[in-house]
Amino acid sequence: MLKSIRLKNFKAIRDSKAIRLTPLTVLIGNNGSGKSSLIEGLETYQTIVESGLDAAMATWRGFEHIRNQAVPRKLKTFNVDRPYQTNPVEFNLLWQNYRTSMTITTGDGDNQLFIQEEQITPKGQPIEQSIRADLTDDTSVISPSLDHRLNIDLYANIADWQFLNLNPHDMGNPILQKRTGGRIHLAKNGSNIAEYLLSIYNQDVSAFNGIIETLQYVLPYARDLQPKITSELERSIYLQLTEANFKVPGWLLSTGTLRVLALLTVLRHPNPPPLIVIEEIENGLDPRTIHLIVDEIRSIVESGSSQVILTTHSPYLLDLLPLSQIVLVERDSTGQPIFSRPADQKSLNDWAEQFSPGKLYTMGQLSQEGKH
Amino acid sequence: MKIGMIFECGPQGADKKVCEYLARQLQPDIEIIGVTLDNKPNLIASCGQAAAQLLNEGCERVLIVWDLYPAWREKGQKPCRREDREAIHKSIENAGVPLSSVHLICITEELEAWLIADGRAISAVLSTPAHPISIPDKKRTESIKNPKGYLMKLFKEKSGRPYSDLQHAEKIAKKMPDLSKINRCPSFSRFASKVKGETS
Repeated sequence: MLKSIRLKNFKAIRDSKAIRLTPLTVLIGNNGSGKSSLIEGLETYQTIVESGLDAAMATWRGFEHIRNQAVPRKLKTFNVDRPYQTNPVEFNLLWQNYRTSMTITTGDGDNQLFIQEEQITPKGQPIEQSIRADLTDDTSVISPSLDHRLNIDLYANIADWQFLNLNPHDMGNPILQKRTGGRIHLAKNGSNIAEYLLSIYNQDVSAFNGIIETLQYVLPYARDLQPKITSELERSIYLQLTEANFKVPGWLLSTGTLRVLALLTVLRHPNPPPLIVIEEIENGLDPRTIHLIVDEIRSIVESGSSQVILTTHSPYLLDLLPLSQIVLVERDSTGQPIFSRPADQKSLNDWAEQFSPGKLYTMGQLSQEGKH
Repeated sequence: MKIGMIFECGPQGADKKVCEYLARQLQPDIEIIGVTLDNKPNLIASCGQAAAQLLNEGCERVLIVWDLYPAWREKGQKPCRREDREAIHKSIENAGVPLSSVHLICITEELEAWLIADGRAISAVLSTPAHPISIPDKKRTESIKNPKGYLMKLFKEKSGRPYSDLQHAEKIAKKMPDLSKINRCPSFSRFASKVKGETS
């Protein structure tokens, strides 16, 4: 489990400080406050570890677009093996059993981009020196071979992180079926939901049946839902819902149905991801379904099989959670995102006895700003 | 007979479905208007106004049903029935509703304490024609710690699927052949008595 994250100089975040994570962490805050930057930081870290630094930067059209623009930088050339720009982008993660860190910067004229330093420190031991000897600028030391050599699951864990920012318009349509084997991950936008559901069916029929049974709570008229494979031109896969005696193809399903299905498949996967990050989870869900999804999240985090990070703007959803799981993101007087846990404010205790978290949020009582 | 019920769950939540089903078993001709207030703070804040509205709509009496423990349990948390009751009474009085028209039912620790009292019902939900399962009754279920946790473990072990109160609580209630087992739970017994309009 991840215990805390600290990002430096990534997008709007100059220094997030250590953000303590709980089995469920819910990020709230105004539009543009910096919630997504934190999640994008984790996602970027995952891509660097899995696919390399260049691949991770391709999403952003270059490193210069994601490093914080407000921090001053100098080219350090004196007494160093390799000239580098100061104030690098930093990812610091505290895990249950170790601490990992990575810094990324550029050389003279920003022409060279490289992973400057990486550390993996077992819990309770002093910080080791950089362990990047013999690695290319693009490659993280965290790899399947490191997992094998040290008998850890760091790479496997990071590679399995699941990010979701669902787009139902991409979810109903047929897509080419992956036929090469290996674990199927749900795409961030949910576009391969049919294939993902089929992989669950192949892995564990009772888990598949459980998803369909749960979906019937939301759609009592739904008799069945199946991934269908077509092979007229190429082998494509799509969803088909059976309603009474009618077959409804995925592209005709409601956006809410597709969203709740994607959430259920991830939360009910027989081998769920160690970290599930869902942006604006409440989108398109009715209050009854929000209760269902919160119950599913509670079930998965209490079982200890996954850690969940959510972003939300919904006071209704917040009302279903204890205050201790909420992290508020807001900008300070200099415009920097700051991350705080309202439950840590002693002055809020009395308010919290009278008002629910969602109400406190809309009342502006969760804010730290102006309280110092 | 028309009665009102106020719950701390969400729309179509487990508490509402189970209590309304059981109330109809106890009193088949009953008409129920159920109100869900989503969580305990809302229940405490708004139950008085909701009760007033239910009585205005012709309900003979109103039952307020809640779990002693919140859905998310936190370390060191010690919920107190007396404090809950006092806060609810205050809300009722503030709304100008006579306390005699409102009856409070606090389930210790939570709804699942009622469900695990009847092993026959759980067995029926978990069994398949090819794989019958027998679950024993639990006694003094309102003294058992974390009855939902017990049910979750049971579901996982016996069926491989997680227990979800929204899906399974009502199913278990509907599989109870009679209410003899559940009637051993003091809070259910009180619920039954208030549904039937008995004075005690």
